[in-house]
Amino acid sequence: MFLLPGFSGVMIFYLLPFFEVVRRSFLKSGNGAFVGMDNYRAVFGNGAFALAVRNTFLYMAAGVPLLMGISLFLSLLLRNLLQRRKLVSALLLPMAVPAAVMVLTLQILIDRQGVINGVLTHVSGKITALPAFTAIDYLNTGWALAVVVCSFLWKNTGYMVILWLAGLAALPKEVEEAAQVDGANRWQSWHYIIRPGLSGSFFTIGMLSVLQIFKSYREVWMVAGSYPQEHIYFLQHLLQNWYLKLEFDRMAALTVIMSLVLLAVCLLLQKRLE
Amino acid sequence: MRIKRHMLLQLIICAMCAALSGCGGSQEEEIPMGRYADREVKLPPGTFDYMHPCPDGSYYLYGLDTELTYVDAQGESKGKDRSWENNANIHAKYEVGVADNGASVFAYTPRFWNDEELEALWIAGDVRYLYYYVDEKGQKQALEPHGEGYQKGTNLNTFAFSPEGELYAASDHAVYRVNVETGEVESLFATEKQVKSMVFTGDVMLAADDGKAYFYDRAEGKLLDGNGALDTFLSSHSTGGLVMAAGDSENEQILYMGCRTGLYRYIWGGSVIEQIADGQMTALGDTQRSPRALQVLDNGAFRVMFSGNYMVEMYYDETLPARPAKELTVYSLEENGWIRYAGQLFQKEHPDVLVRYETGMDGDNAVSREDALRNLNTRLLAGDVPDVIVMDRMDIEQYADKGMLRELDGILQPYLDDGILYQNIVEGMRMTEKNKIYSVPMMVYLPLWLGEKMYLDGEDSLEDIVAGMEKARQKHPEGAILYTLYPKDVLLQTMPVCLPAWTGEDGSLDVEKLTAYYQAVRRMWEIDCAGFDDAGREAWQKNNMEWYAPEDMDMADIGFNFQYAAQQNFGETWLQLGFLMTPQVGMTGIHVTKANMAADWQEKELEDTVTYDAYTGQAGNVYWARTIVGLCEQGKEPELAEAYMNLLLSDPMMRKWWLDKPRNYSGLAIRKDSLGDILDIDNIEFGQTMGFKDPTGVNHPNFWPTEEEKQWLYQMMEDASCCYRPGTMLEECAMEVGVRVLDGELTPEEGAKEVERKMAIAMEE
Repeated sequence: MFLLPGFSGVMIFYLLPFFEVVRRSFLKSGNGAFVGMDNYRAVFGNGAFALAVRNTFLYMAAGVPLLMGISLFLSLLLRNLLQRRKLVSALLLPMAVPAAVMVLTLQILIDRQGVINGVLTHVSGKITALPAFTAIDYLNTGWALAVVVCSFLWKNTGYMVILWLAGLAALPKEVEEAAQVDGANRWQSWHYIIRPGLSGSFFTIGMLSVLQIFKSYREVWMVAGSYPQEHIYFLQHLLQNWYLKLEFDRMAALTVIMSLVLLAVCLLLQKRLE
Repeated sequence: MRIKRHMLLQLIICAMCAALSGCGGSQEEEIPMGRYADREVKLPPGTFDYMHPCPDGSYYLYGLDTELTYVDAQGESKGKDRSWENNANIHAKYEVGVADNGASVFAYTPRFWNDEELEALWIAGDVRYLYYYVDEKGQKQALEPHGEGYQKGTNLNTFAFSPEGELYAASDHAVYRVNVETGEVESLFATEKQVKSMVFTGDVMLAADDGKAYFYDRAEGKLLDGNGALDTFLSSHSTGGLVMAAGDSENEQILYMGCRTGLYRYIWGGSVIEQIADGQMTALGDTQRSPRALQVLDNGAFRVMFSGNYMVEMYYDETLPARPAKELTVYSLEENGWIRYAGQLFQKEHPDVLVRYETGMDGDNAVSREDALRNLNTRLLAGDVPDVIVMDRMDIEQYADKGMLRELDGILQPYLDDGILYQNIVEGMRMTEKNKIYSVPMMVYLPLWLGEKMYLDGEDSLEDIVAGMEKARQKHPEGAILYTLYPKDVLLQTMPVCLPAWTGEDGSLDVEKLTAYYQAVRRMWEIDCAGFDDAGREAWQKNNMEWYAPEDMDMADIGFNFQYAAQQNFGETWLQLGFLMTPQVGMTGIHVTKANMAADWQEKELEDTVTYDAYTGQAGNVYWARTIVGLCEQGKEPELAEAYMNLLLSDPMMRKWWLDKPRNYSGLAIRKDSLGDILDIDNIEFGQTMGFKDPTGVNHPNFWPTEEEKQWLYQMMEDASCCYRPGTMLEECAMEVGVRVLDGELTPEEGAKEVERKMAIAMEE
């Protein structure tokens, strides 16, 4: 009885719609005919799906470890600083920047006639020993994924630093101090005391980082459109484009697949950290 | 306690079940009878835009170029009552006010100035009016406003006579009382914006702008307290025009207001504004016309005068259901005047049906095309399916593939069998894979070029245009050749006639053709740019910004600009590429452009060498499908939808549209008889675009199409077989990449490869 209001909300707004998606994944959009696993077969046989999965995986493989690593490193540096609050506030600034402003800034930086190309051209012109620099169209070449990863790191690092700092603050200081008295060096303190103590935070921050990868689609779409350079064509592009093309049946199947994969990743991470 | 918990649980479950099952809604609701309907009022000869209603039911009609005409309460007219044309010094009239006895006042600008101070303002680009007063006997006298609180040169834009014959006028910041005999002006009160209408009841005058109502006690000479309800109403209902009228002598405390959303009633001093007629079910909802005046009649009916020489009488019909029992939903991405007009005609023919016209991007909400499509798809997914759908800028194949569109072969076959429609155009819409037709364009545009024949003596292909431009550049080393301001313009003017050639039947992209296209347009842009240095091009762009909005521009604007810009830029550009969008104005428009170009180049003796013809681009025989209509498979009213489609394809619909709205750019009708009829319409309105009635007195030559030209146009219609539909993925992609090619970021080859790569992903999807 106590759980009923909350559970009703979850049922109505999460579970029932999800069951509806599962149901639709077995039907043909338009006439609603039952097609069994055809939609799933169509998804797995789709070339755009393969490309999107590969890119999303690469993005995740590059973005998540980098984000976790850099933010953890920064939080360890900041941990003992007295003025860390101000620094942390500064790190949070990218979170407050509206997506449109961020996209505009990104375009100013990485455009063919943008700041980065301008600086590099200037530098190569000044230093005769360097080969002449040709302006690069970063978003329309193989650099595109690197640009997206960099913007992802810029936007999310501050937030993750705060999460790490919260995890670090929860560690008992006495244990670390006792280890130092016993002669443990920094590496040993990290390896034997801090790292095991942060295992809970690893899971939470890891999951949040994965979710942030999916959420960063908005900026990618705003900067490169529905059909971006092939290295930054992600699963969300595919879903959005299918929606515009009325491919509701395939969308439903893909959503179910993605949910299952995310659930599996979640369970796997949890199990490993346990 | 335990029992209470069980009861609560049961209640929650019951509420959820009720909500999910839709419990509470009645299945068969009885609709009360009676609502306002309207019928057109036949007007006396002339082109009228305004009406002054008189208390006895009679009224005066007038237009800025048409003389005052009195019509009595029985609808009889003796014709013109006042001649405003006698004064030779009038350049153009701007505002007119009429009194119940026929006295009138008007603001005008003169042909030549006698006042140096005002002339200086005029020369500085600031329009300053002069005024004339014509009394009830037709005696004219110049009205020279002066007095405390009135600054010389302040324009009086709105006039109204009180029932006693006093003249009130409004500038953009104040309302005045004007003595018509002496011209003495008394400033009454300040306003925030330009007052647009003034209504009198007893001693009180109500003056209203777009967001505020001012109540002025004329006897006491002071402003009364405002009314928040009325202010709110005015600010939200003034778009498209709002007219007001006080009730008759027995109901003078009632104010009536008419606007796009309907007719409203308000009791002075009250806080409630009641709708008495729905705009969607009357002529008030017509977005192509603005209401200009409202008259309250003794029998509870109303007369509404609209712009464009159109008046209706709205009457209460007790035999009609208060709201129609059936509803036909028509959807289009963008506002389409023709479709809205058809809805009104359909509603008149079917009083029991409400035609609900919905647009995805209504202009005010800044919804992008992609967002609008997403919203539509969400609706479709939820089962909220419109009955009729206008497929312009939508992917017809996609919707047909998903079973959203109804096959139209059955509806169209009788028209094709009888040779009523241009079969080639209808067949151009056949989906090759399914061999069925799911949508049909009601209008088409045809591609044209205009210029000196010597530049274009080939087959009018893209390469010929490039060669022609090169020749023109040799002869004219400076300035523009085409009317292009930005790289996108070259693409907009050439892509429609090339794009259909880039894809094979299997949808694969012909990279070679696309590369050739990019090479040609790049050359065209280079030739055009060669006539300017950077400063020169900037000046050229700046000078043309007046009628040009590159950010919002699509092919429709370019097509329009073909005529408009050609007329504005004759002598500055030497070739025009564009579309023939309107039969009558289009043909004469070309003639006038030609005449103007020739006049401008007279010293070059080009009169016989300026010509126009179809241009083929890469595809050949291209037509641009406009107002493409399909029916939804899951629509709730399939029979009504079919009837609506038949109305769209009918001759009266296609012809009446042109008669009612002569100056529009909808396209050429796909009905053979309608197109022929339209070409034969002898309507003076068609001439207005070309300054046929130019108030400056400079009459441009007005040419009507010759029989030979008509045959040429019919032949073009017969030959048109290759359909161009804007808004496809390929077009958007080629446009985006094309700008980079023209800017020199990419070579044509790289551009084509880029498009191929992007399209490959889209194809894979």
